[in-house]
Amino acid sequence: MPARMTSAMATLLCVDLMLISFSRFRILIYLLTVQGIMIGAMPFLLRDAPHSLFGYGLMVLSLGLRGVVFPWLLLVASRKIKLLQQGDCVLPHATAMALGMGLIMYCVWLGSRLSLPVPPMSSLMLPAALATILMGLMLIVTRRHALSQVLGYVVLENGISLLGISLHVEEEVLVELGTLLDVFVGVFVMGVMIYHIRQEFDALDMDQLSELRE
Amino acid sequence: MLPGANETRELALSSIDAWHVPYGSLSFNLDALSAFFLTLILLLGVLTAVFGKNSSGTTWFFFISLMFGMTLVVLAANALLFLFGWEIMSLASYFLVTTRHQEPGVRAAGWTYLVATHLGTIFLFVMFFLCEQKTGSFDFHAFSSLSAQSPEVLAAIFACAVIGFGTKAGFAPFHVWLPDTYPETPSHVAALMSAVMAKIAIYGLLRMLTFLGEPEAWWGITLIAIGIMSGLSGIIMALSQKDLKRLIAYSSIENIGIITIGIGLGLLGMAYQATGFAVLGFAGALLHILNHALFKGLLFLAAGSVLQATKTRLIDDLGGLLRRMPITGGLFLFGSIAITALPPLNGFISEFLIYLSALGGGLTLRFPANLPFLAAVLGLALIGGLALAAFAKAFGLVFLGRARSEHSTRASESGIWMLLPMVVLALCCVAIAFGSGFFLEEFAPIVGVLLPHHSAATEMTLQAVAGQAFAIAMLSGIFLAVLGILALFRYLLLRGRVVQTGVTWGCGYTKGTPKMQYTSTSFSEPLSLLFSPLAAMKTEVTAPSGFFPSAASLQRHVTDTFRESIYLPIFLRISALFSHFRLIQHGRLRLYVLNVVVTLLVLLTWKIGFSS
Repeated sequence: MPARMTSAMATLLCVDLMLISFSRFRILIYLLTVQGIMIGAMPFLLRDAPHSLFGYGLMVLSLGLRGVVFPWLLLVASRKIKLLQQGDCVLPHATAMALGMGLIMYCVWLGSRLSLPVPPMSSLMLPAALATILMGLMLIVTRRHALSQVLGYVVLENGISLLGISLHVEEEVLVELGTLLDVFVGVFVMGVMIYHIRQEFDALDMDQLSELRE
Repeated sequence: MLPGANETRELALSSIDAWHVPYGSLSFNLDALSAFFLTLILLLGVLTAVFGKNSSGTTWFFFISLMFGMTLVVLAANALLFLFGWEIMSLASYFLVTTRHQEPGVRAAGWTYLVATHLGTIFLFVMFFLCEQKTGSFDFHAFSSLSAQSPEVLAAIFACAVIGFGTKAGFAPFHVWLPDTYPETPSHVAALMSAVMAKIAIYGLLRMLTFLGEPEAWWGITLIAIGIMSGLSGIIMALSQKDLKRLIAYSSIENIGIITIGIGLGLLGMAYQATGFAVLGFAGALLHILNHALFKGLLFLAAGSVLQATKTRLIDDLGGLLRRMPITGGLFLFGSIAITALPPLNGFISEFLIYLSALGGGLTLRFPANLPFLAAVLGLALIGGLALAAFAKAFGLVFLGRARSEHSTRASESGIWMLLPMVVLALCCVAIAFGSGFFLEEFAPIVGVLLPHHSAATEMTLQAVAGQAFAIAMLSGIFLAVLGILALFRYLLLRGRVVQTGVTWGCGYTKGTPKMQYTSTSFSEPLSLLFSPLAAMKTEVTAPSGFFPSAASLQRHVTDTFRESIYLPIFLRISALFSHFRLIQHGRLRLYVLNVVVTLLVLLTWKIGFSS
C-alpha cells in the first residue's frame, strides 16, 4: 500500500509540474481533472470502510465536485469566451518549468523538515500537498487571464484538501466541508468579479486592473 | 445652575460594579468634577441638537456617539475606559467634521483633524502606560499613589498630559488643526465641539492633576505661559480672519488660553501654599469653562444661523444683517459682549476671579515668585483688549453697515427652532451674570476635588468672592437701570420731532456705496501689523503699470505662523518620504499575490526550515 501511495504522489507531483509549465487552457483543465479525481479518490484508498453513510456521501460529493463539476464548469466557461487554444502564461516554458522544479525540490525539503504527530503513509505525501498548494498560488501569479486564476484557486484548494488528508485530521468531515465551502465561495466571488471586470474593461486580462490604482 | 454639585456632595464616590476586561475594568465614578462637566455635555448637547434638528440620520448617529463618548470620558474611573471614550469621541467628531465630504476642503479639514487628534492621543497612551507601570493598575483610584513617585516621573506625566490634552483643547502651538476644522463642520456640531469637546480635554488635564499630588511651581508657570501664548496668538489670528466661523474658532483658542491661565494660577497658588489664590484661579477657570461653553455655543449657533440665511461665511460678503436678522444679530451682539468680558455679562465674572487670583499673587508674593502672576495680569489685559477689537469687527462688519453682496440682501431671519437654543443660552449667560453671587459657593466641592485638604479655606474664599460677585451684579443692575432711564429720556425727547438717519459708516456722507465700507482686513490691519510676528501678513499686489493702467489689485491675508513655519515644512517632508512607498502600489493583482506567496514562503522556511 505505501508503495502504491508513493507512486500516486509522484504522479501528483508530475501533474503539478505540468500544470505550471503548460500554457494552453484545455490541457490545464485536463490536468485539473486528473488531479481532482486522484485527490477526491484518496480517502477511499486510505480507509478500509467509511465511518458512516454521511461520511461516505461526503467523499462521493467531494470526488464529484473535484473530478467532474469544477473542470466541466471551467470547460464551459472557457469555451464560451474561446480561451481553449490560447496560452496566457507570462513566463516562457523553460523558465516556468525550472521554477516548478525548484518549488517541488523546496517542498520535498520542507516536507522532510516537518514532523507530523502521525507519520503519513508515504514520505512524498506532504511534499505533494505543499507543492499542489504552491502551484495553485503560482498559477494565480503567472497567469494573466481571470479564468486561469480561478483554475489556480481550485488547484490551491485541492492542495489544502490533500494536506488535510495527509495530516490525519480527526474531524475530517469538517475539513472537507470547510474546503468545499471555500471553493464554492471562492469560485462564486471570482465569478462575480469576472463578470464586473468584463463589463468594465471588455476583456479578462487582470493586468488591466492596474488602471484602478490611485 | 449646577444641579449636580449639591447632590454629589452626598453621592461622592458612587461606583457601579466594574466590568472586568483584559488590562483593566470598565468602572465608572461620578464626583463633583465629573458632574460639572456632565452638566455641560447634557445642556449644550440638547441645545445644539435642537438647533440641528434637520440633520440627516448619519449626522444624528455620530452626534449621539459623540455625546456618548464624551460622557464615557467624564465618567470613566479607569484609564482603559477613558481612552475608549476618548477614541469614540475623536472618531465620531471626525465623521461629523466630514459631513459634507463631497467638498475637497472638508475632506482636507477632516484629515488634518484626524491626524492631529491621534498624534495627541499617542501622548495620552504614553502617559497612561507610564502611570500603569508605576502603580501597577489602570484604575484611577490606584493612580492616587502616583504622588509618591520621583519628580522626573511626575514631570514626564505632566508633560504628556499637557501635550496630549492640549492638542484636543487647542493649546498653542498644538492648535493648528482647530481653525481649519471648525469652519468646515456643521454649525451645531462646531458649537458642541468648541463649547464642550475642547473642555473635555481640560477635564482630562484636571483629572490627571488630581493624581499628581502637590504641584511644582514650574507646572503652573508652564501653564500660564501656554495660556498667554494661546490667548494672544488665538485672538490676534481671530482679529485678522475673513471667515466668520474661523474667527470664532480662533477665539476658542483664546478662551482656552484664559482657562489655562486660570488653571496655571491655581497650580502656582498650590505650589506656593497660597490657597486663596489657588481657589480663585481654579474657580475662575471652572466658571470660565462654563461661561465659554455658553457664549461660544451661542456665537457658533448665531454664525450658523447667518450661514444658513446667507450661504456664505466670508465677512467681506456680509454686512447690514441686523436689519434682516434682528434676533440673530441681537443674540450675536449679546454673545460678543459676554465673550469680551464686558461687565454686565457672565464673561466678566469668571475673568474677574482669574484677575483677582493673578493680582493678589502679584501684589502679595515676593519677587521673583510674583512674576508669573504679574505676567498673567498683563496677558489677560492684552487678550481682553484684543478680544474687544475682534468682536467689534465681527459684529460691526457682519451686522452693521450695508450689504456687501447679494448674499446678505437676500437673507431672512432663521426659524424658531434655530433661535430657541440661542435664546436659552443667552438666558443662561444672564443667569450666571446676575446669579453668580448666589451659587459661587457651590463650586466648593468641585474646587475641592482639585484642591483637597483645604475645604475650609476654599469655602471661605468662595464666600468672600460671592459677596463681591453680588456687588458686581448690583452695580450692573444699576448700570442697566440708568441705561434704561437714559433710553427712555431719549425716546421722550425725540417724540414728535423729525428724526433723520444716515448710513452707519458714512461719517455724515450719506451717498456712500457698500464698497466704501471697511473690509475685514482693513478693519484689523493696524492691530495685525503691530503683532505681525504672531500673524504674518501676506500681501499680493498687482501694481498698475503703463500710462493707461487697466487692472490692478491688492490682496492681503494673514497666515498662522505656527502652521506655515513649523507644521507645514515638517509634514511636507514626511509626505515626501512616504511617497516613495507608492512604488509598491503598482496595481498589478498578480504581483500582489506574489508578494503574499513570497512572504509566506520566507516565513515558512524561517519557522520550519531553520528553527530546530
